[in-house]
Amino acid sequence: MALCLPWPVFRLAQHDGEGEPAFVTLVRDEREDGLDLVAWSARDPRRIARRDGAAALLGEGMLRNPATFANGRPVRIFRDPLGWLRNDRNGLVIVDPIGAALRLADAPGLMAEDAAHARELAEMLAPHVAAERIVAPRTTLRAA
Amino acid sequence: MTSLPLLVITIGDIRVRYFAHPDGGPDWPWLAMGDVLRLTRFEHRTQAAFATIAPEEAREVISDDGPVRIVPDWYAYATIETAINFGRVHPGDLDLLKQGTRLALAVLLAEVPVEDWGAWFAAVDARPIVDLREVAP
Repeated sequence: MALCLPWPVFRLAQHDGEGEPAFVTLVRDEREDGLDLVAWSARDPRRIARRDGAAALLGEGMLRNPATFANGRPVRIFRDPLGWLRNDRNGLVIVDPIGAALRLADAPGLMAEDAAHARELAEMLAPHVAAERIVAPRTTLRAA
Repeated sequence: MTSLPLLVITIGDIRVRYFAHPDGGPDWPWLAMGDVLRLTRFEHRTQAAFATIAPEEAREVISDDGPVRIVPDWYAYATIETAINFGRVHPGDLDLLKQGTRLALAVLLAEVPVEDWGAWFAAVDARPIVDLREVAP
């Protein structure tokens, strides 16, 4: 299976005992053409690596779709690919923070999973994405 | 209690079983993980490695031929997509797997009065969707 080290580019394991089980997801652009392959650890889904270094986000093709931000709706950001899959891939997962910050610089709004995640995103995406554009579900703010 | 599959299909030479949500609540059909792993056509050691890992939602049910680990459809699809990206599986097999989900859903809904279908789907959708009116900066 895929070997996810060294980050951020993965390669295939060639020998027994090498590598770790990983899912591999095709990232598509706005025309649905393949952009890059992203591997994420099956044991620790926050460990993510790219094959070619072209993709910055899982789901990034939706950024060029005007419907994504219709009526000022923020795009959802998930901490890891499992959360993204659970939610019908309706949103994004950051693969490369620098590339993601540049791609999200013009996004009207981002919705984090919760308040703590919103703070993480604000730090990760600064200065390209203003913290005021990052929101979290109000219920999680109350809980935080 | 024995859980019989809602539906059994065959893709190539691989049997794939679909089950109802283990708690009986409204949800898309779940799939037998072992069947999905066989469908990947990965070598046995890779299948074995994946078999030790499952999302927190994974459950075990007792079917007519023993215990079966079942997983939500989205996890099964991600597994097959991985095999497609490795050139192990034809993309058409994923389409067949999704067609099976729709057929299994029809079996599930056959038990639900038509007038309750709206509420049934609303209950399924309610879990992942965040109400955007409840969003704060």
